[in-house]
Amino acid sequence: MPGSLIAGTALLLAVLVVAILGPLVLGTDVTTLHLEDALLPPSSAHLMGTDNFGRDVLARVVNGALVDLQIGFFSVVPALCIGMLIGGLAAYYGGWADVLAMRLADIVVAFPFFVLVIAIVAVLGPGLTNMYIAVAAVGWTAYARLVRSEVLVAKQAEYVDAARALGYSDRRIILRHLVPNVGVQALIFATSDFVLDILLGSSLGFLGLGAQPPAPEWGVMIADGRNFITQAPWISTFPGLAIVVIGIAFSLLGDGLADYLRVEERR
Amino acid sequence: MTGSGVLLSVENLTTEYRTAGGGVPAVQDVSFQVHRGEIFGLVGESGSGKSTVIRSIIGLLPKPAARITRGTVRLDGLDLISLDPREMRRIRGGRVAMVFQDPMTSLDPVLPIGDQIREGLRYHGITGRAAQARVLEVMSLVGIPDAPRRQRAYPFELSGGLRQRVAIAIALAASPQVLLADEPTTALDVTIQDQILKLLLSLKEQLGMSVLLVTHDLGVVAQTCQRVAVMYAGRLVEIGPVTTVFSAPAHPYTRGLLASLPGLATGRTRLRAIPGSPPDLGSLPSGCAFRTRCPIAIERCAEVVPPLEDHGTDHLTACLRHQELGQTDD
Repeated sequence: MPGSLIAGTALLLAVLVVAILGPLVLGTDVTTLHLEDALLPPSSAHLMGTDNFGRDVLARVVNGALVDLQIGFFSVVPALCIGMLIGGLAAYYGGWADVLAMRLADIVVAFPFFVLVIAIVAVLGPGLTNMYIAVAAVGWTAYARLVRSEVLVAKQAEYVDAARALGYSDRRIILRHLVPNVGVQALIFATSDFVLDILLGSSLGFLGLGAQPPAPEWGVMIADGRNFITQAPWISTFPGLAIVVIGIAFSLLGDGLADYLRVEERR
Repeated sequence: MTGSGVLLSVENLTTEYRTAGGGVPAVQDVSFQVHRGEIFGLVGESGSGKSTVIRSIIGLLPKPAARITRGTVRLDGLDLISLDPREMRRIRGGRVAMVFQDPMTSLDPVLPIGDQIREGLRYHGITGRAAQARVLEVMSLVGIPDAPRRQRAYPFELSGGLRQRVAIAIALAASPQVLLADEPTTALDVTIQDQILKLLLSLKEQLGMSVLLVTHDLGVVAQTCQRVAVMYAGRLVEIGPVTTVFSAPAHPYTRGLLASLPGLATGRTRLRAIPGSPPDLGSLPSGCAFRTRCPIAIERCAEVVPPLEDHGTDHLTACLRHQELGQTDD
């Protein structure tokens, strides 16, 4: 098993433990104002200092972990599922289904990813649910193209012919033979996409279109802290570091997974 | 022994590929019968249409490029071409199974081999403990040692020969009546080829199954088949018992093929090849497709497509001059 896979998994598990146990230790009340404690630098009482409303930055970062992991998850999973379905069907059946799906993807991809997501969220209204909808509506294209090209290759493989020669139905061939063979690539892509979507969620939070204050979302926290960046840099810095840690965890995981599965499969 | 009667019967099969320039016939007017419990060889060069014949039988032609325009395929009297897709699916794997050329690619790389054998069984109604018993049974039937452990192996962990045995085991799992084998030994080492052919022979003996063996290798035919059909440019040019066809070929193409085998005993140092190359299927010569390469072609060969005619017991040939050929000796 590659080292990066172990390191990535360990780091991600550590983040999960903090995300789940942290709030139990530090409390979940991270929105109440304590103006008398505003802008305190890191100390033994507040390890990461306090923000401009006197809220403990550490408690907010820890409570934000689950929020941002959820953002990643709910952004990636629908896009992954929709994309695999559309790309898989387009490649397997070909013909007009393929043309329709891929031209639709072309149209979506023609717009800059960020701009399109922001536009959709702006129309639907700010908030996490609408952000998930927007990311799914735009993000499926990458998965669809990836899976389509993989299925086109796999479709030529004799084992698909062999499965047909055994009388298997299309559904069985797609679900049991094609998806496991092509899903690996999409899954590896999804781990890097996960990071991008957390960054996207943070960016939208920063712009006021994603999670809404006073929610302890890292992007929102960075945005809140930017007015005090010279007097109290800790307000923005620690949530920023948290994003970096999660980014590294998923990058390692994706890399390691790619090495691991490729060796298993193609040796 | 060539059992009792006809099991698989192909009549006047014509399959066309659609191209920009119109329909190209890959298989024309092909008729033959495979008897119960026999291994029937179908030989020809690459592009002669032999794989298209096999794919026409099992309904796996590339769609929409290829189409059967004429003819029937009957399995035990049941017309396979007119079956609807759902019924045809039940035939595939159940009564007709297929083994492919390259065992490196014909197995699913991400499933353990035992699961792949079991999947075919489940699809044909055998599940649970019965399926598990059958998995081990077919694995030992095809000569995979240590089946209980090996069933958990992935294809990449096995050698080419073992993989082809797995592919045969998958095909055999649901006890088909006919096994279609498309160049099953071409991708293997010579020593492994021999083992696989012996396996096919012993399976035929044990299970009374029929095999339609497609190959370009005359040595393979000589070793395994009872009867053989020779294809050239989409048509059958000769068909008969292997011993007769090999000892007294009645078509100049077959004679050329046999003469071009590199023989150790003859002491010849150069290969004797058939001059020229196979014709483009889109622009076949008029009359007999082989006449442009044929050493004994006459003018009439350009005028008519020679029909398959009797040349002795069970021996048919499609050459206008076969009677003269019959008398001469190489």
